[in-house]
Amino acid sequence: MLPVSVPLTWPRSLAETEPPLSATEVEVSLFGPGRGEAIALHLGHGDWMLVDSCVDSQRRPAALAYLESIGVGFERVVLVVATHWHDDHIGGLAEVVRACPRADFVYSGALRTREFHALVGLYSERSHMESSGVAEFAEITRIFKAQKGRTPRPAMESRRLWFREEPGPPSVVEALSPCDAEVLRSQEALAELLPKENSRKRAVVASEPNHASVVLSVAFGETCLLLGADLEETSNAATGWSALLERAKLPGPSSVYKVPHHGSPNAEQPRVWKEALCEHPWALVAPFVWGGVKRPDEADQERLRERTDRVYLTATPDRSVRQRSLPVEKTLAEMQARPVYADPPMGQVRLRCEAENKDEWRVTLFGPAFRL
Amino acid sequence: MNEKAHPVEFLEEVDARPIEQPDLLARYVNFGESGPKLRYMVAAVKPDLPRAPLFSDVASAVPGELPRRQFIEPAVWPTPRVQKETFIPLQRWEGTVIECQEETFFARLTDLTTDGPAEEVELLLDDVPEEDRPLVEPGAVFYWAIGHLVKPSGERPRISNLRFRRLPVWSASELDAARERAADVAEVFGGN
Amino acid sequence: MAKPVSEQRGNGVILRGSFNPRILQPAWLAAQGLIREAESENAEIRIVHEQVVAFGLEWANLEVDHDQLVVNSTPKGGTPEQVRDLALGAIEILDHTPIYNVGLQFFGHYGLKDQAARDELGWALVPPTPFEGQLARVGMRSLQMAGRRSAEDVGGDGLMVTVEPSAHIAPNGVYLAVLDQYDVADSSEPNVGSSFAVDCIKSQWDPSLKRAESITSEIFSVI
Repeated sequence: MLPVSVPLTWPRSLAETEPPLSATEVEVSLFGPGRGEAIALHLGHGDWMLVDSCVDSQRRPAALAYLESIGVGFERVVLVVATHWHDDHIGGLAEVVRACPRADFVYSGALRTREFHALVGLYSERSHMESSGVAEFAEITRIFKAQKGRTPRPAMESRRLWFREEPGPPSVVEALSPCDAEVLRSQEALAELLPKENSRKRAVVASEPNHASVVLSVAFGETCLLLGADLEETSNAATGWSALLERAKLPGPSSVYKVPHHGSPNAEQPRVWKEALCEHPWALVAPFVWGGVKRPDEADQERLRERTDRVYLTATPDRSVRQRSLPVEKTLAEMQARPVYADPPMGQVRLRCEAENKDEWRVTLFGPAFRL
Repeated sequence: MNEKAHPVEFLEEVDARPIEQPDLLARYVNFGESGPKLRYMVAAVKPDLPRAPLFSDVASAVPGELPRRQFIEPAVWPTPRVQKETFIPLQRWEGTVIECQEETFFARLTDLTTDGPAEEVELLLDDVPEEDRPLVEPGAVFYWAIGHLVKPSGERPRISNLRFRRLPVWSASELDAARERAADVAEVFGGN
Repeated sequence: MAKPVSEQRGNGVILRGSFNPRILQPAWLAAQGLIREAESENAEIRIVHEQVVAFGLEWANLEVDHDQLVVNSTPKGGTPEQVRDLALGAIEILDHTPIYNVGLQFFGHYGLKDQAARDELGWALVPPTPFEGQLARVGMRSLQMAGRRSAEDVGGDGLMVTVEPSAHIAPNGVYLAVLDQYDVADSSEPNVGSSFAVDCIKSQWDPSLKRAESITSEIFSVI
């Protein structure tokens, strides 16, 4: 039986046990799942970017807990990006925004619509229905209303989100999506979620596919990373990965790839591996389990291994069963019901390399993270 | 009016001491052993029945609390039937449906007994009370309790009690209020 | 701490305001989807009158008159959330109903292991002196403590804790109830509806429940 919930703890204080990150070193960490996935990325010279958020077993944003453990103050976070609004990607994001007052907050431009505003307005108060993704945005709204002079920015395709020329090497973060067509599709999907008068109250359940996702390209010197968020491939020529490859001007082949949508086949586009990534990239995956869905499953893992031999998962997507008292267990057995822990324990995959040595990533695995 | 309503009748006139309150019924709250209970004193009854008893107000020592009243005789409608069975819960969850299939549904569970991590479960639609089945859809919330039903005979069968949450539907005023809050969100997150 | 050997818990929602009792009949609740049709048909009706309505479901009792609406769980009841949702649903639909005060009550009947444990609890809460010299076999019959949630609370806001021998668990049973009251509106104000009460129930349910559990745990820790 798998461990119930191995808390992700770093050895005492990493700041004491490891050599400090150098100014020209890139570091990228993927955390997940816990509840969701998150990325912490060192952009050089002490500047950090956080992408999405997930909470650990103490219900603390994992990225913040990690930065603390390596002695990085939150004032060094220059950019926080919410790639979309789904529950599994932004757990604890409001706390991140509050804790990093010097960071620009960037959100998917597909959420800059009255449909999303209406959704947040509906479920932020008095709906009596839990919806954590929407609740995070409601809380973030309150934070920004209280902090005059700080305004979130929308991310759209081909939009530069952050740039530093000096000290070098130059570092840039660019959004590659969503495009206008994806904004429109997202708007239509959000409209479907809005309740009508006299309809029953229920929690918000995000629909598929996810058109709001922000794909990020990061370049620091010679090193490029492609963070795929949850963008999927679609049959529509104007949306998805194929459309992105047609329009995007990539800085160079990326050596690190945050595999989109938890390795699901609906996010797979072979052209990404050929045109956007170098040979044998380091592929990072945070698993996802939801109802009968488990990603990456065995077929997904096989497919990823065919693409590169450097595939790292933050945790296994398998889940363990919680043991309860005998009368409860007997009743559950009679009902053929077997509650399993919803979220596998959280792990972290961390890569570091010098900005000019893009193929020399050093990998460290924490918690249940492992290499396929 | 509900056909099952108890046929209590009240006199038009009162042949008794002056009644302080103009209503036919006087109310008091008894914070007794079983929690707050409303009690009513009928000021007058039918002429062929004994005259209704007098009552006295006992002021409460707690500021703001309603005065306690002493009944001399009980009110004239049936008292609640004493429930002989007791449900002793062993485990409780709040669940949210995430996926529906033909005979089962998946739900995400919050443990209300021990505040543990979230769980997921696949349940049979057959285990849902028939009247609740139309409520089973993604996003629907339910409460699930497993425990013993203790009977007066001493039997203690284990039971599972699953009930879908019932709240009023979205009203026009709620949707209007939400639109006002949406305007706040739009101020921060831009607009169309 | 001498943990109780058995317990039966329940809860209630008490709303004070200005009600029209005849609306709140089982058939109306079923028509609004707040209870099942079968529950409405099998409800134990005690009285339906323009001044008072009282009926029982399997899991709750509801009593309402012009001034007060009370929904209480029954021993066979399911979850405290059901009682909360019934009260919440009714007043949300009747949004013009003026409600000035909300009470969230959590109570339990707890069986202690023996008479000595029960006596110990009583004496710890209410020391037997100065009664001992005057009364033989003195014991606590009923205790009620009132207080505020914080030093800043005013008006009708406050807590009431009741400890008495239990009528449902015998021998050696203790009844303990925590009533958390909130003044949500001023009765002299015009155009007050139910919205403040709805907001109060939604926002204070979890804190009230936790507060009641904490108080209960603290009281039993004295033995």
